[in-house]
Amino acid sequence: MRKQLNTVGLALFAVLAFLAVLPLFHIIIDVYTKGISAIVELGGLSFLFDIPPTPYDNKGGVGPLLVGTLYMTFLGAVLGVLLGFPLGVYIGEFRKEFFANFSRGGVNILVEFPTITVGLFVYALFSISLVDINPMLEGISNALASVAGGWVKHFIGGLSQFNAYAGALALAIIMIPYVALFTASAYASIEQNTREAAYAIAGREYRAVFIVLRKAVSRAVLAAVLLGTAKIAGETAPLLFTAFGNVYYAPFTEATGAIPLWIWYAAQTPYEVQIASAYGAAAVLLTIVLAIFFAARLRQ
Amino acid sequence: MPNPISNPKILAIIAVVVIAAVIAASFALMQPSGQQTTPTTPTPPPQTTPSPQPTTQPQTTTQPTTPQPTTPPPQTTPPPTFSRGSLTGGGATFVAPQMFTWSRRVYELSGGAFQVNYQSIGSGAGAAQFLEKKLDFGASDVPMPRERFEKVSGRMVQFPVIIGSIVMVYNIPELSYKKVGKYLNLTSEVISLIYMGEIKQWCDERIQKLNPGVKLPCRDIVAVHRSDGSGTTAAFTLYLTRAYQPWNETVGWGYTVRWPADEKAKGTGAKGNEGVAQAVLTTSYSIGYVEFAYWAKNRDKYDAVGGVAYVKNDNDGKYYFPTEQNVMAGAAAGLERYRRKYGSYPTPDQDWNPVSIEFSNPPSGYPIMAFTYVFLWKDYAAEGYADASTRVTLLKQFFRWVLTDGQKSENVVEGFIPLPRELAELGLRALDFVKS
Repeated sequence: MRKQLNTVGLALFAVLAFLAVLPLFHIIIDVYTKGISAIVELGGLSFLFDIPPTPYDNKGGVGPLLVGTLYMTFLGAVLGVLLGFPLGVYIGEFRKEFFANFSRGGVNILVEFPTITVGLFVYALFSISLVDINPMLEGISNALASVAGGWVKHFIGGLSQFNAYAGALALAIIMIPYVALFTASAYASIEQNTREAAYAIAGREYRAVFIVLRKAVSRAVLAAVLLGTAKIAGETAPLLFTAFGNVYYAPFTEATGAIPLWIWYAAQTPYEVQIASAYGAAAVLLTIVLAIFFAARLRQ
Repeated sequence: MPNPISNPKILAIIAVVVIAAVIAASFALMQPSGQQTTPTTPTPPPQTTPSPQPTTQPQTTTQPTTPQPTTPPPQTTPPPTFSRGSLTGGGATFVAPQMFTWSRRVYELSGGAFQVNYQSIGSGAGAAQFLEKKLDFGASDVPMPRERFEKVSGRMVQFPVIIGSIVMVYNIPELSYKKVGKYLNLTSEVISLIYMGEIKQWCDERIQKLNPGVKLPCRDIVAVHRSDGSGTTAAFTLYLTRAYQPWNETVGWGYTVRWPADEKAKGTGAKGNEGVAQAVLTTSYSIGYVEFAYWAKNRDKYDAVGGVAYVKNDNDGKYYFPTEQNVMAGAAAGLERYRRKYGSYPTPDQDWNPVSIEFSNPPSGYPIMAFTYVFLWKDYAAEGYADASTRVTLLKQFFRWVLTDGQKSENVVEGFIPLPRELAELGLRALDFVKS
């Protein structure tokens, strides 16, 4: 009797597990079957470089959007790690301090924040600060351009209200709490013996925390970084009023396109070619996200 | 234990791949664009004011005598010249595919030098971001709202660039176009009463009376409407407000309204035109209002389960199918009614809300229309835009093209209707208001 119950129970869990992952596989298979045929139809490999199709076109791609997504995701991830990792160390390793508790509360709220409000915050920030920082940026841009050449102006220069850096900043703010919380829990889980040993051999506290102990948690932190990156790569809402979107190749100092923004727009239109391009774009985005995700799994 | 070298290594690999991809792609493909915006060619000298050629025959007749291809170019423009540079605009979702197509044509005509980036952020956001001076131009399904307009009165111009029509689609399997070979007739009164929850079943005698010889089933009507705020809803409810007095007294018009059918009958909301279109396709005995293109692109599917309605124009008593000619005739008739009522055509720098009201439920032609208006500043330098003179040059080049060549059928996307000539000329006059 007990054995039979056991079998039934196990079978039940197996079914539940299967049901839980079913939607995931359904989404992946659906996006890839429709997405790949759309990509082939819209131009194959050139889908990755072409500008998006108008309702009149039968070829097109996601070139400017892919560039924008990669650039903003990369910058956002770097900035997110630069701010999120030390914050996580502080929260995790010095958790008895008043401000560490305070920060933990803040980060816990931030992680649940609606992402569109982050976009609005960055929008407001750029609205009030551009007048002041633009002369400086133009100076830097001109100086660099005279040394390195005109291509610098694609990256640095006077910023428009909507630009890639605003988008990247919004993404970074979304990334910070992920990295910080993962880092904090990783540091908190270090055994006391290890910690004592680290302090004993490291010399200064800085070296103990950031060099010796970091190596004990690096896998968990790296996984957090990669998962956070995968998350921000697919964000739409925070980019609406920051990167704004663009369907052409343009300098990053101006409105910049992103794949999720295009999917959001194109999926709503009645025109088959744009809907197909949205499926193709979804397949490309899913590939990026899955690649990052598997990289994270492999490291763990 | 974790391999200490592995972390930097994988991070470095990712970083290198991403940077290489970004730089390679942007560097290789951005070549033609980007650089400092130096106008290579000056604007063509403003054409001697587009003389409003006396147009004598705008209204009446279901089939206007002048079919589409003969729309004469308002003036013989020299081949358009385009400068190098980029513009940023945003607003109405409805017009996005059309703006995108115009933008692409200009991009191609200029050899990739002229980029107009239009993003569909919604009419409300388009107006707001334009007023905040974050956008070079805004686009909206409704004119600048009066309270907002009064604050910038005299500083901005607005003009229509394209027309859309809103069609009534229905799903009645027994009476699908495939089976019976004809579409239903509807009037503003019946549409209002359906959405007010007063007409609850298809076999209601008020519908039956309009459709003699058709046996309507006694099934409950599912009235599908937009759940999100939308210019389509604004145009649709404005039409009902103008055409049927009880609707005006009980519901009114706006981006969103309270739909009495939701409480009294089987009313239901759906998000976006695509949501309403899909809901009507999949719900038997439903009716919905969508932009023309959402019906036209799925015409076969609708014909299998129902169809699209002829709508009666209460002013001339005729039923109209939403064809391009009928909608253009409606727009021209609406403008003409405005001219008669106020003594002259509207000027681009006035409040356009009275104009949009005259367009709604016009004296003749298909009665449910939606216009897309573009907002421009009169003096970009005074409004604090950087590089104002370049920007103005680009804006004038783009919209001059949009209002002339852009209205030709090869540049108009399926589902959009070009402006009648009188309206296009109003827009061209608006461009002369913009200070170079």
